[in-house]
Amino acid sequence: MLHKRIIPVLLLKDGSLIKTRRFKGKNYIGDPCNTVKIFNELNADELIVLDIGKSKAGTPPDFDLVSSIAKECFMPLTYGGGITSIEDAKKLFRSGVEKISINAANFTNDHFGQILANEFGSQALVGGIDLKKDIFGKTRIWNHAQNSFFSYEPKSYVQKLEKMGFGELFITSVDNEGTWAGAAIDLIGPLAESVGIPCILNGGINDIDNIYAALDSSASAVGVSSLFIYQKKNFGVLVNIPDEIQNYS
Amino acid sequence: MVTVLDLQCGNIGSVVNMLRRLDVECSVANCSGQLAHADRIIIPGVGGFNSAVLKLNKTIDMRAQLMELAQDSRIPLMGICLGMQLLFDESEEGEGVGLGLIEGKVKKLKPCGQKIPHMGWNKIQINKSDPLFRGVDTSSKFYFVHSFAAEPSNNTEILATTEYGQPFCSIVRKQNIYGVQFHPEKSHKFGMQLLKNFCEIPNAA
Repeated sequence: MLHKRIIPVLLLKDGSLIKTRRFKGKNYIGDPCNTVKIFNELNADELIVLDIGKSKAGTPPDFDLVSSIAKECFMPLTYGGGITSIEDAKKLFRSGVEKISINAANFTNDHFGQILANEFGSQALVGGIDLKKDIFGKTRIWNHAQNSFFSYEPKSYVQKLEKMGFGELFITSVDNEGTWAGAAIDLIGPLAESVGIPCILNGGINDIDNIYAALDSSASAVGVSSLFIYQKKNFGVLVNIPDEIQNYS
Repeated sequence: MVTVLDLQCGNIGSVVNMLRRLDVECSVANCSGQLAHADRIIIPGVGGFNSAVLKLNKTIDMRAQLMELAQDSRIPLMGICLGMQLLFDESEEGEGVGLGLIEGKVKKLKPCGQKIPHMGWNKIQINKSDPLFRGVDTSSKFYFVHSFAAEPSNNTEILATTEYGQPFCSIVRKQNIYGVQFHPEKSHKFGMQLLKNFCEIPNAA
């Protein structure tokens, strides 16, 4: 029996750990390596680290930083942010990253995912997808690097990424991210059902029951950020995983 | 001293990081010369079967050196994930010829209503006792990421199985050669214990 995964999601910007709200603002959280150490002690299922400024700025990953994070991380580590070449990917895997997440590069290079899948295998490849409602209330694919919507319809886009060779999808609801409004289960559930690969539902988780509800959906895993790094809503930083979650599975 | 084989597509960093945490001396080998004096080998694995086989074939004497160390010198060897699959004769993932150190075939996991790849934490059913299992039991959890699994021809070589829709071989052992389908280097304290056990298995050589 496979246990569904509960995955802390950490955001990097300029070498620091930060937290955003609907992809905007940035609250300083602390030192990335120390935080990873804490999640390690707490036996987190997995860790996702995204350097959110990289694709927008067109700069490569901070390999030294990722490497020092990986040294503290004895659980599976996914890194995303600014990956545009096989060389980038190779360096990341060598430093101790299990999976890389590709988001912005999929908008400009149709073949990148496939090339990476052939080289490193699907299981090491996560497709990052951000969903956002447009002014008409229609859910669309959001390109954070360009600050614009992408033309693909969400369902055909997730299926396209599956065909390209991605082994897993990390789907974030921009409108829920950092809001403590609860996960967008209705939005992401149907997308997870339309592909054969595992999907991680991310954005908006506000309490333990919400985690269980998300895991009851067709998602294979849930990404949790605010709930694990703040004491509670509008409170200070306190990196923790509730006991109940630590004993889950 | 543990030698970690670098096939250019593996996540050698994770394995090296954990061995260092365990205070085990280790080195990384990417040519047969660096492999020559190995007395314990780990073949880590992330990647496709073919690209790993290609690298194995492209590196002068690598294949021959590995076979000699494993079969003649009988040093403890452990293949992890793709590294385990490489120990077998062939794989449905590609045309490449495996090391053939353990008889059998690597096959695509059958969906059985489950998502493929099999990705996440799962448990093992231990078939027989082994020094590898000191401090490890059926409540230990390990991290799996794979779409293919090995089917050893000889059932008695299956040390442990794992259930995912159907049972598959998650740990294999033929004499001094071990293969684990999960990633001990990413399985917290459980994986740390297992790797520690492997590093303490006496070297017959």
